[in-house]
Amino acid sequence: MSPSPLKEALSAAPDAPVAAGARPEREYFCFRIGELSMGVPSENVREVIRPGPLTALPRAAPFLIGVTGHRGEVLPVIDLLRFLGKGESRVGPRSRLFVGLAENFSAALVTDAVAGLRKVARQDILPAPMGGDAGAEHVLGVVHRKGEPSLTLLNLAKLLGSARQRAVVR
Amino acid sequence: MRADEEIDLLLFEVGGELYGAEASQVQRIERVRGSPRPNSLGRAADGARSLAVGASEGGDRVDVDLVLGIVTVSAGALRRVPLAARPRPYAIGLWLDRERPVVLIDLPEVITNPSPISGDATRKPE
Repeated sequence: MSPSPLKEALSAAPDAPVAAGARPEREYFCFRIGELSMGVPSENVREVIRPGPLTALPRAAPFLIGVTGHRGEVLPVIDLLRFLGKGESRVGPRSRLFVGLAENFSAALVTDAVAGLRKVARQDILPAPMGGDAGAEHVLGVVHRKGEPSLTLLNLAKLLGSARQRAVVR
Repeated sequence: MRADEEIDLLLFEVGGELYGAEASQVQRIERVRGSPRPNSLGRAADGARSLAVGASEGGDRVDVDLVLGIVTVSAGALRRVPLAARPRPYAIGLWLDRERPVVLIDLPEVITNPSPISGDATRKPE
């Protein structure tokens, strides 16, 4: 006598929830800069601040627009658009800086507007377009959204590491 | 140096940027004779001031736009330049004037590295 469908299903049933059955997702800190909507893993973002006095550094890398003081700490300020080869940011009163962290290195990055935190399912992330530009190596993927611009997800830890390296090898 | 110790900084401007230097490095301040000479920090405008700087190789002058004076600052307000900003030999640190970082310059090093800066370095935020 063959087992009933229920018994058959129960014999194959796991003892605990299967991870693959869940909807793996990750939280991203999303922002707009120029015409681009971008996101970075939220665990790499410490805080969002208003731009304070910005001091240019002599002969710094072009994407390094200066340093700013924040609670007794001096932070390098990075223009993501320049770094990614997509133009140039303008720091104005409506701009915001977010403080990004990678290992023991932190930097402030310029945004035009902060959109907030958003959970993105891994399966919704599409690969970065092939043959991309200079910044493609720092793109985790792209999320297409109905009625909204595509969200480009950046590997902030890698980006900050590259920024640090590029600044040093100049 | 302890954080509560103090140091005198001479504040000056070149190309609209504020800099500081250890006041004891400046022997005197003069009017520029002739055209201002460009240096690592930029080119001062006409009517500039000249900082007479003592250096191990005899000393020279660093022409600046404006001398603002001397401030006494706490060593606790001094900071290293962030690694990503790669300090030039003459940009030795920062003084955090409240939240505003002021680049600190080693004037004798400016004399030994007189190459003018690129335009990017003088770009200011809007």
